[in-house]
Amino acid sequence: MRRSSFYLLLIGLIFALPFVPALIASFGGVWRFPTIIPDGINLRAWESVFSPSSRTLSAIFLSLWIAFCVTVINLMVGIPAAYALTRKKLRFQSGIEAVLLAPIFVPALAAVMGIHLTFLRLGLTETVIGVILVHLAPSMPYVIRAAMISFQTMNEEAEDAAKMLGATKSQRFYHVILPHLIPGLTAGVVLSMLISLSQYSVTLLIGAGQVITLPILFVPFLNGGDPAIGSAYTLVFSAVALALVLLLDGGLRSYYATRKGGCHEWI
Amino acid sequence: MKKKWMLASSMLLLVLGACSNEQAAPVADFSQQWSELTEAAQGTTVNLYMWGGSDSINSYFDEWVTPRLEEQYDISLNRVPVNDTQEILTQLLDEKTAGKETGSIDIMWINGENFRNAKDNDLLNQPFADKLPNVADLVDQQAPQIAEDFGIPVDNLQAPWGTAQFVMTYNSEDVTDVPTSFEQLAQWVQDNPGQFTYPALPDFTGGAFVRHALEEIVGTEQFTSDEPLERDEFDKMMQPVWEYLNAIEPYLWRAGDTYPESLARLDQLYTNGEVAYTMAYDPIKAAAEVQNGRFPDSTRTFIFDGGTLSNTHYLAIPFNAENPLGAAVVINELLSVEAQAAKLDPANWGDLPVLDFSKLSDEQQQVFTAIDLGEASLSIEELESKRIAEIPSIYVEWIEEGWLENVAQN
Amino acid sequence: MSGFEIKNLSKSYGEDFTLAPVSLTIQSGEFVTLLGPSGCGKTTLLKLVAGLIAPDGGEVYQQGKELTSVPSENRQFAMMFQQPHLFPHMTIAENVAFGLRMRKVAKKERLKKAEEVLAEVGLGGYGKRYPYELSGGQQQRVSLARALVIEPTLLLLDEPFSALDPLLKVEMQQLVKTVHQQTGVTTICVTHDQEEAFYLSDRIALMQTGEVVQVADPQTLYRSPATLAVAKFLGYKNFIPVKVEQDSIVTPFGTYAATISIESGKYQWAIPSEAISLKGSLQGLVNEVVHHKGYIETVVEVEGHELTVRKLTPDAQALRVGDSITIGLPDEDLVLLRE
Repeated sequence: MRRSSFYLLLIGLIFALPFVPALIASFGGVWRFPTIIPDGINLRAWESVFSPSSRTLSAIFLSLWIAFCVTVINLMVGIPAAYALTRKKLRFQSGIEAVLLAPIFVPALAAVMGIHLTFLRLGLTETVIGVILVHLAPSMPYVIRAAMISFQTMNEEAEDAAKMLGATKSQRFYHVILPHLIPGLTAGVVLSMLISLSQYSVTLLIGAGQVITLPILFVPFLNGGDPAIGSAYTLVFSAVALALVLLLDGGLRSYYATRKGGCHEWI
Repeated sequence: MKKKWMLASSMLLLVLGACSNEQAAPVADFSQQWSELTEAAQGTTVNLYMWGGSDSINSYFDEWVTPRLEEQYDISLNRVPVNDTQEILTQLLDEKTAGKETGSIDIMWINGENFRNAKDNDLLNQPFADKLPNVADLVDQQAPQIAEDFGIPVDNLQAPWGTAQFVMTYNSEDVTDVPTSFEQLAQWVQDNPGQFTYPALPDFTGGAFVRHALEEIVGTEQFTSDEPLERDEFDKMMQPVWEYLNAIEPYLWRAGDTYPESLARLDQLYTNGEVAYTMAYDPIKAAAEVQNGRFPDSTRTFIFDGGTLSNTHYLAIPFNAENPLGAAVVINELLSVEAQAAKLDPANWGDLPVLDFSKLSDEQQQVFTAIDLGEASLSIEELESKRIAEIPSIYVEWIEEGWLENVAQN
Repeated sequence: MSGFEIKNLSKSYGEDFTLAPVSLTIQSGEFVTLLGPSGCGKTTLLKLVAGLIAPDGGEVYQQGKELTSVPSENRQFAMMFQQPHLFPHMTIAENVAFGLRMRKVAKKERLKKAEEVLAEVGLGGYGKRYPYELSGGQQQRVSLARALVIEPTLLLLDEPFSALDPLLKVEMQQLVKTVHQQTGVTTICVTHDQEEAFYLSDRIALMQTGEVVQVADPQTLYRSPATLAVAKFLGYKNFIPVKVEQDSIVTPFGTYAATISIESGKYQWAIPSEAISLKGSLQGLVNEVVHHKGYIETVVEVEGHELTVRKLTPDAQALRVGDSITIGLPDEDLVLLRE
């Protein structure tokens, strides 16, 4: 086996390892030390997770839909914000940056408890829109940072070249800036989606139990109620997240399949 | 260009604010004719907020209750899984502050400390429990255990739904001489070190274990809510209890260096065979867990000679329920003989009924006695005969604090 | 009037840099180079003409019409930079056709035109490849093609060859010259490379520290630098102090009669190294001999002044340090510069 594939396999195993106990636990049964495989394996947990009344599938779709909307908004707001922060000399530059990136340090729930009253008055609770709005704060900074880094490594002259050829602002964005941003942005997009997917407390508070995302369904099982079901849901959630990451990564690869040189400037 | 954008977005916010969902809450008239009430509730949806961490409870609802409600009353029940009832109360509190008159919660599953909070903060709807036909006909409303929730008068603000009773669970393969008092238990752990432990407080079940020790060692007549104890009096009275718990500590699992942080962890230890005992507020739970394969077949339960704590859990309707009449119909149905019997069956859930047997006809009683409670469970008669009431919840808190200080940190 | 007019264009960046008001007229079809050392403001001036920077003062006119407030993308100019800046995700043909696409030319037509121009720059048939497959020099050709295909009214070159190795540089310079001769497009080129400027330009605008110091065709520029600084920049090495008194020029090597009237006073006589011959009436001592590629520089001391003489190798082969030689100085068209 070649060296690089060996290391790849090793790293893959290390990442997969924590899922093994969850997988085993999800099949229930009595698992007493020192037996390696528990007795009485059954599919009860899995049947329960995927039973029609469990709402698992609709929760998965809703979670993905919310994550998608959140990420789209993040991109629409975050890219111009990053552009302004890196290219223009704004008056309160560091202040604005600190505010925009603050959610990375402030726990989401702390901030959201304060906004609950406002959302109530605006009638935004119990709605999917309200949940989407409240997912923006913890996720947007990552998109902004990813865009900022991409902008900083970009040569402005490339935009000038397009300008001289007659490209308007939006055309320059589409042909020059966007292709350069995409690799870096992808990391931000992935983070944004994962953060939205894994929100629990804020979804519960603002959604008031009427917006059933995947975490809403399975967190009650995690705190001991039922380790088998908890494990099964954990695996389902991880599978959804993993599928999402692979999809985005695959999309990125095919976009660049014919553009191997990527956005590296010569010299 | 930028200014226009800001103007547009602030206008949008204003419009949203104006459009907030402020219909006045329907004034719930629970005293109307029951048939009219049922008719009014037809075709509506009722949102039930309850702990979602138990597959059996969830299935009881999804597979038994919901179809039945649909069929008999054309009511659509929406079960919302909650992690911690406190989260619901926070939501209601904020909704009250914001003046939200129709909320998303129609029924909530509640008792004890949470009920006290809700009552103190006016989060509940009008009194309704006595207006439910099944409560009037089948429940002993005067029973202190039902009229008071951990010492707080219920005042018909919540309807009794099920009974919990503390039982000890053990593996009959490991425990041959069952200790049915704390005195016996102290001896047993000395003879069999490392096989017993209890959840660290503030876990509710762990707290209950300590409250049983209190009951046997000191007695709880003085722990009332009419003449509450002063804190230092309380501390003095608890001393013998702490001494007992510290005395047995070295013989516990891991020599008492650490306690399992929750009942769920203790259950896990029991399942893995690391300890020979666990405990629960649910006397049928052991049988249910044997049935779904988590607990070994040799699992059995026992209660202390002096009796074990029993409490009622309730269903309440929040102040801003959108469908309070529908909620009343659902709650009433949950108190029917059929629903309570289905709830008792360990194949579904295994929760004790709250109905007064003396008010049931022979046929109705048969429905209950016909149910196989499983080998692990004690009979309902035995459980009923050895019940003690809970002490007011304020002491529950103090005991939690006291344990941390006197036992955990020693 | 035809061509371009730059009127009083000025720009300053705080205290660090100021481009003094520059005025320049460029004839249609002319190749003008802005030549000067780094930091002299040539690129700034070019970008002002392009519209990439807004001037603090002044205007730009094209055939009498004012362009100053017209955004770059609407100016119908074309520009080449030091880096090719090709779009990595488009084929070469798509890259070249980009300007036509912006002008809403139909796909088939613009790709056809692109292929034609690619052939003109020597990259015929490369249309389907991607930028990453091409070398640096090839990419610059594509960049040139991309600029030419839109038939611009003005071609702007911002040191487009400074990143290329010498052989490639010469190739590209030849290509540009050919293209310019064939298409006649008005061109403004910015460079610090004097050989390049001299080879390509119809006129050179020499710039120093934010000012245009002299504008002339290359030969005139070299033969008659306007100031001492210009002469030094152009590579003059010999400066002899002389005095002018009533139409005669008194030099340490003899007195010359002035053929035109000049003001009396002290001057520096700038002598091009290659204008000094190794045969003449002056006695000199060889102090230094330095061999370069293809030519030899000899430092000769004459009458107490050191003169640098440059000769093509075969001519100066025999000289050695310490030799006594005779040299001859030009006696016509002396370049006299004020201090």
